[in-house]
Amino acid sequence: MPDVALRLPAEVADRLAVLAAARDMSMLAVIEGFVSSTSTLKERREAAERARESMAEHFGYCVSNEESTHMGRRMQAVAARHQAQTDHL
Amino acid sequence: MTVAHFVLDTPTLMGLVGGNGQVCSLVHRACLEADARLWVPRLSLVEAEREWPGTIDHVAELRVIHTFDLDYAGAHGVRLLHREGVPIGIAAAIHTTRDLLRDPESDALVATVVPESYEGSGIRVFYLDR
Repeated sequence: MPDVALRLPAEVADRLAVLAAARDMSMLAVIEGFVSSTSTLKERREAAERARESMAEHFGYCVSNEESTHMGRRMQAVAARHQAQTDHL
Repeated sequence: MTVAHFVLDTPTLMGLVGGNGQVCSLVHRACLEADARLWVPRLSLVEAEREWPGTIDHVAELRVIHTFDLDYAGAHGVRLLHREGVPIGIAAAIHTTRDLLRDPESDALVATVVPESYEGSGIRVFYLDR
């Protein structure tokens, strides 16, 4: 396993320690979790294309870009409403 | 970052494999949205498989729908709701959503083709109308 040394600004290291403590995890585990669960835009686009092809083949429906965009707006509206309620608390 | 969790129930899973455009669009979009997660209770997955053989394999192939396993307390809650006449696949979605809402940094709601099934449950619904 390759060793990687990270030099972090003090405030970032402090924040990492707070996040790790809140989750009862080590700082390394927090970094590992972030890296394994975070995808790039390119990876997400490839996954979406695979899903579109799979649904067309097995379920008989091919999602258009317009439909996907419209659904994205609805999903973001839901998230924004929740964020506004949380901020209000 | 707030993560939005969308829980699919059995009728919605059936809609997906039946080619419902709204459900398919949700699945496609969830691949692209970094802060959205799709979930299906394992109970609902098994229920849908009984109705439509092959469902589990096809849903697994999409790789964007995560399975949720209820603990004993959740399973007990499903049994109580089922005794009151709530279908198992709906009751499982209600308890999955409640479990996901325990994380204060997350939002969770049921994405469904049958919103009327959740009246009085206190669970928020994302209506997939066609």
